[in-house]
Amino acid sequence: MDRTTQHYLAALDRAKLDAESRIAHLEAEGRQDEADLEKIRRNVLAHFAKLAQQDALKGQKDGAAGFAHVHAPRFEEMAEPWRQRQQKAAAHGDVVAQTIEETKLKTLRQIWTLYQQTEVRE
Amino acid sequence: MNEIQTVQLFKCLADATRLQLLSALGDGPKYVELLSQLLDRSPSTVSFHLKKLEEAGLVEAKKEQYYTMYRLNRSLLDAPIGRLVLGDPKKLDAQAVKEQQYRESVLKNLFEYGKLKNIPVQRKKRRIVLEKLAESFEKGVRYPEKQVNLILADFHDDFCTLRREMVAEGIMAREKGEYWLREDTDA
Repeated sequence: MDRTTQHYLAALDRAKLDAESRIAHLEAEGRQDEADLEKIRRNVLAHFAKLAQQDALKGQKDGAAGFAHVHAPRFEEMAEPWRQRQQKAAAHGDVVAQTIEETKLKTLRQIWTLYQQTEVRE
Repeated sequence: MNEIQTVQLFKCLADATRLQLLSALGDGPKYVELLSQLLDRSPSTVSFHLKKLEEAGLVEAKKEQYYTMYRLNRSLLDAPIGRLVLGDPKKLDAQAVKEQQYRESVLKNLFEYGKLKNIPVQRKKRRIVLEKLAESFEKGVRYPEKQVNLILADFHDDFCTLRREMVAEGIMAREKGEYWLREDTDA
């Protein structure tokens, strides 16, 4: 596995650990619903980390470029159904569902930033 | 307030952020952005909690010019806790509570924003759905088939199946192209 991909996977792992510690903190403060939203964030990060590992294997013979070719389209693929659900929830004034979908989309944007930062740094 | 509502009320209260929101609303109505600043939470988190408080009947929302203002529902918050916990009033028996919870979960799973996602195959679930749809009809009113179709089409494209099922399940009666809710059903 090339260095760029390794750094990106490590950054995803760190973000996941940060989310875990925020969950513990929110639960300790008795803010269960916000802890549940943070769990959604953690799950998106965990899911994306798994996908990234699979994509790293698929694209490994072409190095970082091979990984980018397989991995970059994942962001839009994943965002589209969430965006649709978020818009539908907003149209029906369903604040709870809207917040959940926004949390997923926001996490995806954060992962995209991590991905780009890793690429630029390398 | 029945047992289920009381449980929902206390579940809603069992959250530190929501308690802080109620406290912040204690000295008067406020809008989301202000509450967001006071509690140092994002506006979307505040909206999320306010929605839950509103659903539990603890706060009321009112649109005023550019903002939606949130205020405490004093009639509920000023009630002595003993009245909610001990007072009995409409205590449901355990079986009725279970039934109601099952009914609510079936409706929650099968309806999305007022639309029926699919017509359930299981008879018990189908019956619950049909009883829900029957709430769109008035007792004592006779509806021509076309109007029944129009009302049911708001819920699902296959309104013909729904219409036939309403009759088959004994929720509606039919005669000479007219439909009406049967008097002997709870629907």
